[in-house]
Amino acid sequence: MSDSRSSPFGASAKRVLSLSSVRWLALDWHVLAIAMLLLGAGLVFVRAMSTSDELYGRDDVDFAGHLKKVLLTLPMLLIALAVKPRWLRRNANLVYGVCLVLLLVVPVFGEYRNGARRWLQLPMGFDLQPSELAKIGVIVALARILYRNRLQRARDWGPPLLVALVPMALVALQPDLGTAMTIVPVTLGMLYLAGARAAVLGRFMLAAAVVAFLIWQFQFGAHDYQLQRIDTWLHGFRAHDLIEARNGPAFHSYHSRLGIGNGGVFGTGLGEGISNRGGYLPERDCDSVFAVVAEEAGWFGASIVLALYALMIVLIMGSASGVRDRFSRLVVGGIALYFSAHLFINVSVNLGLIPMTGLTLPLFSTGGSSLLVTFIAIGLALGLSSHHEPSLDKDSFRE
Amino acid sequence: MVAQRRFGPLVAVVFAGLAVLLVRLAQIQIAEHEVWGAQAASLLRSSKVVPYHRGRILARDGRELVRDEDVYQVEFCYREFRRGHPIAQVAHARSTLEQRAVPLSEATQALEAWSLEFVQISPADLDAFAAGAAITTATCALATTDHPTEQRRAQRASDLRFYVAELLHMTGAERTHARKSAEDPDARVSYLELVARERKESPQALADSLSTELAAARAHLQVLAAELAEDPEFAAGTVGDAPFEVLIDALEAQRERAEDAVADELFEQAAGFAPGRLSTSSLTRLVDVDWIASVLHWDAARHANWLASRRKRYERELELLRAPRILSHVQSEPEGELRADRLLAEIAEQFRPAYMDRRRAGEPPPAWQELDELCVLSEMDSLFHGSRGAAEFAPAAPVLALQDEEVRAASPELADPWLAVGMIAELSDVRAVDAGAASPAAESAARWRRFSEAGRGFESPEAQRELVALLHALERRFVAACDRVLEGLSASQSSDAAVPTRLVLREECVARAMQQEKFVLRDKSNRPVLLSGSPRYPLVHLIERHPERYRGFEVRETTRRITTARDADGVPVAQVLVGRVRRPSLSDLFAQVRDEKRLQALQYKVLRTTRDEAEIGELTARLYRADESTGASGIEAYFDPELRGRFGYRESDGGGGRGGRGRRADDVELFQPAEDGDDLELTLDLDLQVAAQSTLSHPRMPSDSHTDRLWFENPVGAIVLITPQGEVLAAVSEPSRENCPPTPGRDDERKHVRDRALQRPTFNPPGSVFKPFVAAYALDRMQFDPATRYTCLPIDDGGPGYADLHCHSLHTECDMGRALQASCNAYFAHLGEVFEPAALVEMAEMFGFGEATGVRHLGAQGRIGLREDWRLMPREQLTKKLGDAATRRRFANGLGRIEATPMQVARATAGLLTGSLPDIRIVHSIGGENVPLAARDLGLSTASREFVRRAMESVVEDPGGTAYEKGLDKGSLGFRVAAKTGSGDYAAFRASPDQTIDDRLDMEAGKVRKHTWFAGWFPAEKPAAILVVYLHDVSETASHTAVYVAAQFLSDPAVRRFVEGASAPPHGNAVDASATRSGVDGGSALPERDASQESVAPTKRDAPRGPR
Repeated sequence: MSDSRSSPFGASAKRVLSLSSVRWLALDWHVLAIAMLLLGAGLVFVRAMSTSDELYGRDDVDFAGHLKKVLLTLPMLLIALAVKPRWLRRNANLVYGVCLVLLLVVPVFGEYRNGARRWLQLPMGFDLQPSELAKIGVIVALARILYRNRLQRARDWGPPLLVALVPMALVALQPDLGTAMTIVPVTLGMLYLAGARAAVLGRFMLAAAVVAFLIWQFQFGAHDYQLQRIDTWLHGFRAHDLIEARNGPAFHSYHSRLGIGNGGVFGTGLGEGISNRGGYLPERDCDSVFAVVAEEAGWFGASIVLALYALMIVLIMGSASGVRDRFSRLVVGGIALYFSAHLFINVSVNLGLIPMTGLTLPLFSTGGSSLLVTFIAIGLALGLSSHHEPSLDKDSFRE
Repeated sequence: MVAQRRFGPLVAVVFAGLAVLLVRLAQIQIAEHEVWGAQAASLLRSSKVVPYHRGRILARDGRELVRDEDVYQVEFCYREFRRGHPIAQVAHARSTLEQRAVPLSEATQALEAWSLEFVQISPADLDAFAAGAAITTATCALATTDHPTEQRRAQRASDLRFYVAELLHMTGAERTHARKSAEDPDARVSYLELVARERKESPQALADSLSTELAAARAHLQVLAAELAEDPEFAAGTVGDAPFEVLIDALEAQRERAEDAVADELFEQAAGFAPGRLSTSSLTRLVDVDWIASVLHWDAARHANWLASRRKRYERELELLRAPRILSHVQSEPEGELRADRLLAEIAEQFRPAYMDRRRAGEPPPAWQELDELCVLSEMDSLFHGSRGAAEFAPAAPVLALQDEEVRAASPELADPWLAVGMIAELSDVRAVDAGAASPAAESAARWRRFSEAGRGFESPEAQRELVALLHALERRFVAACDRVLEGLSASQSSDAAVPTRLVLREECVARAMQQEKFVLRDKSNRPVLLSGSPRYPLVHLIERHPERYRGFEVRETTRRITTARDADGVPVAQVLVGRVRRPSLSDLFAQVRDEKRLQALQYKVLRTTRDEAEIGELTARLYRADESTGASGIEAYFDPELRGRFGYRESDGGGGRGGRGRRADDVELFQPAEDGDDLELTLDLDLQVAAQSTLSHPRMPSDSHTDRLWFENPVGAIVLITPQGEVLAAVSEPSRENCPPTPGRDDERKHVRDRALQRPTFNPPGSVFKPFVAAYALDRMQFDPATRYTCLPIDDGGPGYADLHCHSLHTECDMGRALQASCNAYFAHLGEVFEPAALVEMAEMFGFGEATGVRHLGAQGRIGLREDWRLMPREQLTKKLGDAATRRRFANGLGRIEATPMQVARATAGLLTGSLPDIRIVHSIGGENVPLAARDLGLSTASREFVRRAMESVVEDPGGTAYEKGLDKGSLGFRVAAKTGSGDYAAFRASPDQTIDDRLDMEAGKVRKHTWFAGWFPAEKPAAILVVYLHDVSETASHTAVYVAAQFLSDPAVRRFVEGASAPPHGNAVDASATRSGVDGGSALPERDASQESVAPTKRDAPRGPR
């Protein structure tokens, strides 16, 4: 204690973090265990990809780099777990503000790759994707707003929507429509948890669908490649059509579906799939990692992964529902929604249920930012639901 | 609690979502698994057909005549070359930069300078270039553009990055570093500097190393060029040119070919039809296809060159590919009645829009009467910007005669289905295209009917020409209609009627093509082409030893059919008899389309059963491959099923994907070894065959003043040598090489290489060599007294003879022995009158005339080759004809209604000699399994046979014999010969400008041209072989012609060796006739033949002899 008192950093750290206030017995070890299991499975698959690349003279996947990033970012789980709910609630705007600043910095200092400017170069070869961090920022900021806001009046909708739309717009301008779109279900879910009526949210969703349809129909407000992805999706749902279009813009979708379909019921075995051996599947260690998992583990293996993932989400939701503090409950619920959004969008893209968009599958995909945010999210979900924090409010979730 | 209720629906949504994902996952992984598995298998599995060696063809002593030789071929793949060889990399990088097809020769000149320019570009510069900024190198400056997409800047920058990285051999890390460096636009560090830094060396050192490497690359290619120049095939037509330039030109030609193919495919993807369907004028003036030039980095000249060549290329394709394909389909139509409709349906298919083709592989096209919409014309409406009014310019009347309503209505009623083809040909005015084509409907129909009725008439050049004329005639009208519509559309969009507007393809059409761009580029430039079919070993060694120096060049192992035995002239031994090989015909390939699809399906099947794998093996082994050698004629064709081996199959589950560096060894999943074809051991004696061939190719001019000098200068004929059991020892036809000039004043048979031993391409009466059979039959079956004497006196027109039949000499009166010896026609004319017509027919049939010799001992079903002419007039008809005494008189002399091949005469002579008519055998064993011999007992008494045999000996040995003192005596040859000469009238002399004086004198003397024969056996006392010599189209009788050829052959040392060897024959194939002389006069004291010779029953023979 004397150390912390003598060091300004230690004092401020203690204000922010506290492991002693964590009720370890109340910690949802199941979530942690499932997360670690999925992380381990992810490492195994990435290792197999890297081995295949070695075997076939490619250098697409770097297992050592991935492992290094895992080891570098894993401590963030513990740090996030130690974050005091009260500090987070009081500094939610600060967190959100930092995320916004980072998003604003990207167009100026960001690195340009694959036709988009999404990354900030950090020391030690670590690239930060602020749009990933922004998702946590939005969750925290929304929880802070909805902490007292029951969305009973029309004007109550303004602040939370604004909080969600600003980073969405900044991310969409990078352009990274996929990441921007993940904020939508998280926001809508949190609004629902905060008390918004399902009918109103339904109307929102309907309106969004109409807008999306109009954009596609009249081809405005979207890049050509985005409209083309919709076309490709519409015309590539059936296997035969996708095969026909495989050498055009449906190349990625085709190889993704090819890998999954080739897996069959029991899978091809680790490193034995067409995705790894052929090396044609783009982003197979990242956005398309599920295709590799489904191919090599088969329907049974992929179903187990999906079930575990869903179980983890449900368990996080369960934890959230048990938290008495409304802010913490919203943050933990938001994190469950964040994982849900990533899971469903990523897997749906690979399965051809929605148009192609680049989004990671947390705990499986490589990518430092994704790992960083994933561990922070898990840490927060575990920590906020197990901290000794007397609730200052009555439970006020509305039906 | 409220909170939990809020989470409840979300949990439900998660589970619902999970359920959806699982169901979709199951749909893809379980329900569609076969489909995706097959796709994966097609990407991963690499299958290879393992070639077999076609069986060897050996002489009877095991020496090789023909065999498959393992050879190499040098192939060239332009894509590999473009991506892997520095010269191509520099040329294409420059093309990308300048947007013109920079020739390889130009790049070779500036290799070092240009490559240094490229590597001195910075990644940031290229990024900026992609976005539309200017870029400047030492010799090239490209301005800024506001339309980077139109100039394909991003694609060009990407290509340049690739070439620069390849030139510098950049590693993955170096490429990543370069990519990151581009993020800093201010840095502007060149690729050269970046890579030098990474490798910790100076940029100058790296540049020097690059220059050295490029110089070495050029030098290596020069070495390769020098080696290639040694291949006469490759260097043909380039005498005096520097080898390196020749090679560069050849590679440039491949590049042009590949790029033309890409451009064609892109056009077809966009427009739906090939560019050659339009006239050159329309394509050049009225259609905007500049986007293709942009994709391929073509300048105006190259673009114009492509545009100008499309129509010609299409027309060439029509002649060389489409027409033969159509005819093959028609030929394969089993029902002759349906062939006319099939022909028209296939023609109609050439004009049907591609989008209407819904056929499965192997299915016939729809009926020609259903051709309503035509390709190109039906697509105009949706093809161009603002072309909705295309219908306005569409032709009012049917464009093609195929669409003529009257023809369509009349066609089902026509008695002759070919008349519909004729009507269409007439309506299409085929004569305007080809003056030689049949135009009036009836004439055209008759011609097509003839093609249909002939064996493989649709594969004849005449049918090909007729179809090409019809297709061109139809095309002429079609193109004219397209031109009119395009002109109309262009004019409608033009503000100035005098200046046509180029019609722009709709964006979606171009986009459709551009989506396929990468694939098309890869596909069309990835096809290997043959560079050298017979490379020398140093060239093969060079490429195999240094593959990294010669990217794009590849050595492929293959086999080639070669003839190992040749005569002194270099002519392959028994060339005509052995026949030749060819690639499988289109009909063969079309006939197996369904099986090929089945094989493909099995290859891509994910979970295969043992039965599936067995079927793969069976199909692979059975199906023809386009580059396979199959028998086309002769023994090669007839024994093709035996000579042909079975392809093996090797399927490996390798990576097959991107990369390729350090790919692991493939895992062999399925392997079935190839089975070589069976060796054929022929009955031919190589030495005798060579001797016979040499004799016939170079007959010595006899000192006989009455001989036919012209024939000896231009020999046409055959020599057949068989054993008494029917095994062919030699079978030679002359001419044996192509392109011999025709014999002046005679027929043009000298021009044609034919098998004259088994075939009779012209009227072929055996003449007097037929007399011994008549005599033997008369003696044996009719108990004719050989002492019966007939007169040979002058007849009405002055010459000797009997009735209306002339004899070559006045014999006054003679008995049968004398008549045979002197070959008295009058005697046998008398004898012919004695014969009942049916007896004459029976006699001919008894000796095998009018039946196959048995040389095709495996039957005719499904086999071609070794074609044999053996048919006579049908028995009833012949009997009826022989009711006429004059016909019988001629028939008994081997004239008129009787025809024979040398092989038939040889066989009959063997029958006469042994009393058993043998089946002719050309093959001794197949794959080590002996071919059984067979013979038919003639039931001739020994006395009858011996009488004739004695008479035939006297032909050679007695002063009155027609072959007496012709070099056939024992003193000359070392052994005795028994023989009969013969001459069969062939044709009258005709006055012609090139007629020789001798022929003119003969013509004026009333002589006729004839075939002359010599048929006999040797040694006379112990016959080992039957010899038949046949000379085609000679002016003098056999005793002045054929006997000399026979004597020349029999005096060959090879024959002497054979006779000496035959005195102790390994197979006991000599007939003991040593005692025959004792029965000459007595006619009854002839010893019986050895029991073993009485009937040559089918026997298994010893294992094949000689080295294998």
